[in-house]
Amino acid sequence: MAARDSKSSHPSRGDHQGLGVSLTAVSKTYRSGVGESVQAVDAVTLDIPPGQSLAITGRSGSGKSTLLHLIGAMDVPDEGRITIDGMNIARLRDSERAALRRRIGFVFQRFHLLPALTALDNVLAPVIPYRTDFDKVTRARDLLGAVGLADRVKHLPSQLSGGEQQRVAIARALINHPGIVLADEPTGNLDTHTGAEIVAVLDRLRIERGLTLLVATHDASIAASCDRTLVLSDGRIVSDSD
Amino acid sequence: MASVSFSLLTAATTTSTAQVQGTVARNLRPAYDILVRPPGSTTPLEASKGLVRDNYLSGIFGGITLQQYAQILKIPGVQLAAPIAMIGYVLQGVQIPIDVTNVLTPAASQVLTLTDNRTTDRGLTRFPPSSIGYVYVTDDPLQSQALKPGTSITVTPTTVIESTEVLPNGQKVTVCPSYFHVPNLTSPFADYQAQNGYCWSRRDLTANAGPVQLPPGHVGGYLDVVLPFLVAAIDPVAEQQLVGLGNAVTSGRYLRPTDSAVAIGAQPIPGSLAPHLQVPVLATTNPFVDDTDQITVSRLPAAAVALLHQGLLPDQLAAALAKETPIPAERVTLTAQEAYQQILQQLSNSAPLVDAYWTSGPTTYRQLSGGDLAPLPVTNSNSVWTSSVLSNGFEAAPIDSTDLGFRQLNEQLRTNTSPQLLTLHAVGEFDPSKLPGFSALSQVPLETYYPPQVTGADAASQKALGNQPLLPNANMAGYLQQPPLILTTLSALPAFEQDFPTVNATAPISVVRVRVGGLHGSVRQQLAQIGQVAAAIRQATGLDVDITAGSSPTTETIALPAGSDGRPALTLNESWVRKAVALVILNAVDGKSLALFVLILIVCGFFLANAAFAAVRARRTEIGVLRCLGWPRRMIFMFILGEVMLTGLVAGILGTGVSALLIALLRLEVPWWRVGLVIPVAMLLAGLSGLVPALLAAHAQPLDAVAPAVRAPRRPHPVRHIAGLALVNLGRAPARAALAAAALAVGIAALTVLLALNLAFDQGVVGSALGGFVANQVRAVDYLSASLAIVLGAASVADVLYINLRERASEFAVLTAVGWRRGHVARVAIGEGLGIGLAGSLGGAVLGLAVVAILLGPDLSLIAAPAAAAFVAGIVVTIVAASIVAATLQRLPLAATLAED
Repeated sequence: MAARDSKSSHPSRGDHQGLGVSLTAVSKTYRSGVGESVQAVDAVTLDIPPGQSLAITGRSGSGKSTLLHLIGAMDVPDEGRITIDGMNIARLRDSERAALRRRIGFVFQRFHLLPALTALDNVLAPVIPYRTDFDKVTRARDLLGAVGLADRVKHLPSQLSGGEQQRVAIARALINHPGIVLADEPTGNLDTHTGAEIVAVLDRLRIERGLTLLVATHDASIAASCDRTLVLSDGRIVSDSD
Repeated sequence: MASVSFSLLTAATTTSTAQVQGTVARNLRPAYDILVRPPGSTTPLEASKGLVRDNYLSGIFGGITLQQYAQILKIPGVQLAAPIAMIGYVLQGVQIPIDVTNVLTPAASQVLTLTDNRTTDRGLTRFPPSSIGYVYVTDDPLQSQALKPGTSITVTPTTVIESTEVLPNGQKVTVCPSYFHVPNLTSPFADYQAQNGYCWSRRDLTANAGPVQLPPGHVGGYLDVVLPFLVAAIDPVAEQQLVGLGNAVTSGRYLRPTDSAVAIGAQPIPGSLAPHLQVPVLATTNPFVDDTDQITVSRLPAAAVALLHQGLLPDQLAAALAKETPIPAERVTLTAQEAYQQILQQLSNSAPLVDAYWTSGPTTYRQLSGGDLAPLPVTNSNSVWTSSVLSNGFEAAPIDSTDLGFRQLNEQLRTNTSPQLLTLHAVGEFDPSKLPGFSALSQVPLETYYPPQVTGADAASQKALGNQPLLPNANMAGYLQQPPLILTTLSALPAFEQDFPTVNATAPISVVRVRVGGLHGSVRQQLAQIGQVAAAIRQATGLDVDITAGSSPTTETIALPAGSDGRPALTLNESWVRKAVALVILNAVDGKSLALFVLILIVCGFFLANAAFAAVRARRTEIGVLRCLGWPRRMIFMFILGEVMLTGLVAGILGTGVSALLIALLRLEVPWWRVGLVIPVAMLLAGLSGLVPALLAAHAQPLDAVAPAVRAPRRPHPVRHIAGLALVNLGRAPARAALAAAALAVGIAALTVLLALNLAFDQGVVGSALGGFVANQVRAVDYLSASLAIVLGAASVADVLYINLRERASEFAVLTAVGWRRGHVARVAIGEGLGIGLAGSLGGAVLGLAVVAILLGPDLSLIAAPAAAAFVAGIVVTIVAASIVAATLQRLPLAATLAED
């Protein structure tokens, strides 16, 4: 990805300002299917400044996805404090959590597109229940164009390739002008070439929009392209390097 | 749930049916089982509507011969046959003293007038005031005109009898003139009593002749009250057996079968020198006549005294006094009941002669468009009041007879030239209220003893009547006919036949009430036995026969036209009798029980089928893996079917236990083996329901194990709002949505049919008291059935919705992850439920309508409301069910759900 100074060369517009994330001694324990406790995240303290791209790496089960879910307000930590843009997300009500999630874009390893909706409607899905100050359909079309799918607008997910589906997922993640994008193994289900394309798209959009980007990945090349790389093992940060 | 519902509903239905049968059996036998009337006396209205009118005795004065009566008695099965021979009305009068002593002034001479204001129909009818005479009181000596022994006068129509008053100056004047004979009148209702003068001298208060009944020292006049009495002849023995009439005797004695007219030759009647025939009668203590006389005592100015001293003729004096302005001084109220008591005393001693009697025809009706019955007015000429005895040419017709009439009157004049005149002699009195009561649900008109039950049918009529029933009055042609007030024996009939040759001597009996003996078996069997006896009577005698067993009171609405003396038009409820209600109820209950059973079976079967489908769907991966492992289709079929039947067995056992508990708690009556029957029924139903799912599972492809649970639609549809997403989601699993909708549709159809059947059941039988009682009795089980049917349908929808949501949990998790509130996600789920609810409810309502239309006919008024109610109920219940399922989304763990997919 681009160098850290690229942020300054691509200052974000007011609504595209990246969000800062701060974790203080965050822990999360799961109970496994056999009843054992699994420490997924263990006393993680982390500061991510706005606009930074951060790669979270580590072996399977090291806590990468859990960390993203906690930051994305999809799960709550057992201990510790997570603040996004100065807000302690553990204390939010459901509607406030929903509002926060609209400022966060998610990209999943398995895309998680809604199979009944077209590419356009999948991009529109996050804003369906809400009124927006922008034209939803125009923006969705623009985003699909930005990810190179202008000609696949009316296709169902089942009619798209894996890479195309992930591009749709990226466009969906951006529909709400998020300040931060969380990508969980975004290339995990893709071949190398397609994965590289996705990475390029993400990187381009991040730079264009001044986003903060957190990517959980096994892919060393993706990690290398990020401003900062975090290595997790058994839920703990074992390495944090620029 | 299905097995418990099935067990509970069948138990409740069985219990309710048994209760209805018990109610019908208990109320099967009214006072009598069969009513026998003369040929042709059943009106077309009665025949067409299966009714017996309340006034069934009215208009029937004979028609059944003694021979026919004897034939009835001989028919096997006839336990009792009680005849009534309606003879007719006789007029009986009494003079009621009106004491004016308290209103006298110290004046030496004064004149007071007496005016009668008669009201009836609960005060609604007010007849024109009529003068009943004047009272003259003076301090002067009065001497009445009297024949000296051994002298005679020649009486002409203008012969006047008067008293002589000696004025203080010694002058003699004639006062209180009256014609020796009342002159011929132009109308029986002419106000000739104004000529009656009651003259009193304070020097000798016995000076006024006549039946003085005032205490010594009191002065006044008299009110002549004449009341019609309906006379009927009965068989005292049969009547005693039928209703225990003898037990209601309050004074004197009961009639004996041998009681007949007795010739009293040596004992002249006061005022008559003729010997007479004394007919023994039993009189009621309650005449049920609503008439009230209010007598106004008024003072006339002093000038009236001068008018009396002018020696005017009676009619001239009455006219002159009428011109004076009366000043009301006192009002005296006298009810017909009070007058009746005095007449009863006369009957116990020496009753007036019977020189004429009247019969009245039946009322005829015009049926109005709304079904109400309007009695048709009838005009009776003055000639029906002709008297062959009284000098004025007319019988003393009650003024009530000037009001609107609905019956043709026929006068029977005494034509017998025998000097033996007929009188009625009360040997005893009976109180109708002491007669045994019969079930209010099955009583038939006992018109021998009670007047028809007539009350206001609308608020205006109820208010006008003061919320009291309308009663008969002294108008013999009035709508309501009084019950016979005087009963005599069949043995006394020859006395009437002798005096009145026009009497129906060959066929004197009006009706025969028959009770059938030796009944046994079920209600239907008993009704069949009664029917056989009725048929035998009809065949043997050719008479009209109605089976009153199994009948029940019903209400007919009568539109009574306004009277001619102030009574407004009234809408009245009259208690008639609907025949064969018991049979209708039993048939209706049987039909409903069968329909309920079938509906319950269908609903439960559908519920189980849905559950079986759900089980197979939930295990598609497992089944796909088994296919991958090489399991043959037959084995998978048996595996799934066996599992479903095993589930049915366990559910049946559990259901039996729960059912037994509920049945005990609800005190339902069902044999234990019926409860145990739930186990094989549950297994069988489960097996049948699992057939198709098992077949589908057997035909599953190995790749189904890895195929997505919910496929994408073939053609994309734009989605711009939550409802659109719900609709698209429904389209993704159309078979499943259709199954849920069908399950609900069966429940809604069941509810529609239940409601419509209930409505039809109500309309079919609630028109009678027994039907109304039974309808209320079965209402609880109806509601239970309807509730369970709809709950089963809703449970099916909830089941399908839950499976839908489980299978698409990750999609809902994604929507939450991208910023949807949980409420938005829940709205998608509820929208899907609403879609199924709309389709199911609409389909169910239409299906129910079709079934009801087939069963009951396409009567929109009968089926529209139940269908609409069931449709709304379906929507409401589905929304509730969907909301409960949607609530589970609130607990959806986002991260875990997304990770699982």
